Amino acid sequence: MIDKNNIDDDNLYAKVILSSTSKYLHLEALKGGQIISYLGVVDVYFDQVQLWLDRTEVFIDCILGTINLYIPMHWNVVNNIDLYCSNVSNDTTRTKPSENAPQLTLTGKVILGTVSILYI
Amino acid sequence: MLKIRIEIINDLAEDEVIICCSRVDETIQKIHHYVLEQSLSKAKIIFYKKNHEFYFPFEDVLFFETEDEHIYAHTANDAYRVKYRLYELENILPRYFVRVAKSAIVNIMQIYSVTRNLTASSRISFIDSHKHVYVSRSYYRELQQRLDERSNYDR
Repeated sequence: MIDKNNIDDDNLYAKVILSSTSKYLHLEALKGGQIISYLGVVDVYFDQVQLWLDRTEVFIDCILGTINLYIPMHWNVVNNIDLYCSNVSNDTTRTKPSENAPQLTLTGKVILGTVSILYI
Repeated sequence: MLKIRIEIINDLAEDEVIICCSRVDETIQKIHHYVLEQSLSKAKIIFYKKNHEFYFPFEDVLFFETEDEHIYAHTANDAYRVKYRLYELENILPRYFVRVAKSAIVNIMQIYSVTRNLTASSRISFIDSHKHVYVSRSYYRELQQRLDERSNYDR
């Protein structure tokens, strides 16, 4: 179940409650977004999207849920998510992207949930 | 046992299949259906990306999905816009495509696995792709049936 309210075309909004969904982004200038998962699973694919000015922040709200983020290998990801009995899995063995690479900053909170950052 | 005859006519403008029978029974209906399917599977649609138009076979498409007001065809590593609605696609796509959610039609020949999920939806993985689609519970039975019949759709 994805609800979209008061969100313009350049923002991501995915909300799942007790359900599962895949969200494929096709935007040419993603300005920001929210991903919400309460007892659900959300897969979000960033491989067909470009970031507004190469810098975008996405807010995560995950309670007892799972969020899988499929992110291009050459992007920088800054993880500023607050964790409560939760974890964010992030492949630290990949080659470090350049400083000029597009940067996706993740904020928000995860309570008893999991966020996976999967590079593609 | 049915007699089968293929006549090659050199100056024929368009291929034609004629079924000669004394009555239309289940076998004839199946043959009719199969021939129809074969002719429909030759239908072609155009795939769009930016200002490019692409022409490739349906076999390469993993699934079609709606995103906002647009319909996208996903291949293993890319996505293209198409100018059909999902219900229109259901009518023109070969039988190896099946609806798995309100917003998605998948190519069962490209499915690698279906994972049962604790929540309502099962998750489909595709051959040689990172992409996934979730199956709504109401479409799950139809998907399973089609997967069981998968050998019938061998191309």
